[in-house]
Amino acid sequence: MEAIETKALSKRYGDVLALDGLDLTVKEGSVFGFLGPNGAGKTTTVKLLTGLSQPTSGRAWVAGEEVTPRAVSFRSKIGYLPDVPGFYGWMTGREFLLFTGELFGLPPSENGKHSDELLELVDLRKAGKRKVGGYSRGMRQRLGIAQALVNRPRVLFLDEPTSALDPVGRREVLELISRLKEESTIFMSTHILSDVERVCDTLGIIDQGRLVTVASVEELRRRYAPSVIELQFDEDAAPILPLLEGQPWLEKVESVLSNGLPTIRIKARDVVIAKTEVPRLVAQSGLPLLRYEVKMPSLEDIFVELVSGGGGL
Amino acid sequence: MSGLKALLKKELREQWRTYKLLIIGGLFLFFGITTPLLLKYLPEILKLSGEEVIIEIPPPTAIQSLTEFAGTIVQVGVLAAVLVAMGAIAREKERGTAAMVLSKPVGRGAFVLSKLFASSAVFIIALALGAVACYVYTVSLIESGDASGFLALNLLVALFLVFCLAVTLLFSALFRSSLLAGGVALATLLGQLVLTQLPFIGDYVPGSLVAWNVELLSGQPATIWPSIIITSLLTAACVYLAAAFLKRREI
Repeated sequence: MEAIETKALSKRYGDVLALDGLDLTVKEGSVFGFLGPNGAGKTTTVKLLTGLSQPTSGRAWVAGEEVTPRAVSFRSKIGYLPDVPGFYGWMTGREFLLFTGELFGLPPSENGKHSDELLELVDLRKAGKRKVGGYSRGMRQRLGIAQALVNRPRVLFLDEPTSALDPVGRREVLELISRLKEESTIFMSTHILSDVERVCDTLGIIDQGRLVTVASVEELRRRYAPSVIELQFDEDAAPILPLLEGQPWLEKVESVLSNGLPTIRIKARDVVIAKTEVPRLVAQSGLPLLRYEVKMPSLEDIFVELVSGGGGL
Repeated sequence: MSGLKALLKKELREQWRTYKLLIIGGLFLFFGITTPLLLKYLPEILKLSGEEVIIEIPPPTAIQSLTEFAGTIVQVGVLAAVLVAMGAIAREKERGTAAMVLSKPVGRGAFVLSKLFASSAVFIIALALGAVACYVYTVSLIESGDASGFLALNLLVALFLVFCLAVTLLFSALFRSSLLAGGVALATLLGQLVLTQLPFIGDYVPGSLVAWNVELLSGQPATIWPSIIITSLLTAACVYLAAAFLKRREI
């Protein structure tokens, strides 16, 4: 079953098309990373999916129900952490969780116990008695996650959950997210690539309101930035070039100096074949090989390539 | 109305914890006590100032004291209502609490209505405090007055204040800036007070509710039902429009 589905979802603000015909499906139980540069349409999408904003056109379903600002019932199945969670400064952290529980209609006895468990989960047990007005940014973010979990949501929307946190806070939040994936489908928007690599299994890349691609992290690596094979030799590498140049799997070969040593960089159209063929060609050339390395592209390389319009679909 | 109970509980607690009840209650109580007090002792205060000029001040009456109180509360109340309600929704949108709450299974109508109920409760309690104080001081310092007429007058003032709160909430839902919401609400409310001076329609705008004070207290008949109904309908319309607007607009 799909946890999230959108059909041609679009949002226009005046002249700006913030979201342009988004067609997206997110499978139940996955951790979906929604990746894009600032202003790409990530928050717009999350607001549309949580019913906080109405689409200009198109439709969306979350947890099997259509999303509209009027539809109240689907909201009892979702959790939402906004990019900047807002709290009533006069409430304590625990009171805010209790209030949230009341909004979901939890019975009072369960509500109190559950709030304490959540405070424990996000490490705010002591601070829960203090007013939110005095919380640090990281504490507010953790409380924000706790309030998104009050109803044990089937689908959890996290809008930039780590962007405002320091490295320690980020690690804590990411660990928390990894633990949550057993219970909920997670839709996480972010512009931080390493976060996606750590917790997400599927990835959607959005740029200027358009979905560029959806794939798993590995698939993306395989598909978009072909691996580079680097060969380093003891002496001039020129004799191997003619051997390589005729190969059908080759996209590009260049000869450079790396650390003062002659180096060949091979970009292959088909990495699988290249990995078996290159060693054979090296042996054939009879050159003294120092180093052989298949360089994996980083997600960052792929991301930059995709959103800068270099090698989109 | 999903979530109305939880929201109302939160709103009432907020009014209490952010000292709104204390401030508005104290303000109205202050006018309730000082109005008859000043009327009674004004001649003596003038005498104490040592001026030899003789000003003829007729002895104060209960009607004078009670209507003056109602008049002051209306003036101060409009301002207080705007100040209390202007940020109620706009600030929640600005600080992101509206997005937190409205992504939960609660209706937009319940969100607006809980705010109107809670702030109305504050103003009604405050008005009751001030009115009782004013009546007690008037009776003990000046003379006994028409209690039922004064009660009726205060009910009209209460309805008018609820209307002021509803208008301000509407603009608070419309605008993202609470200052802008407050400004426009104040202009609207003062504008309709001006309308009461016009012939014919003047009798039907909400402001006319509080223009009947002398008639009420002196037992003369006054046709106030049309304007009571109109004010109630306008108040309901404000809530409906505010909720409808929140459904359409991005939170």
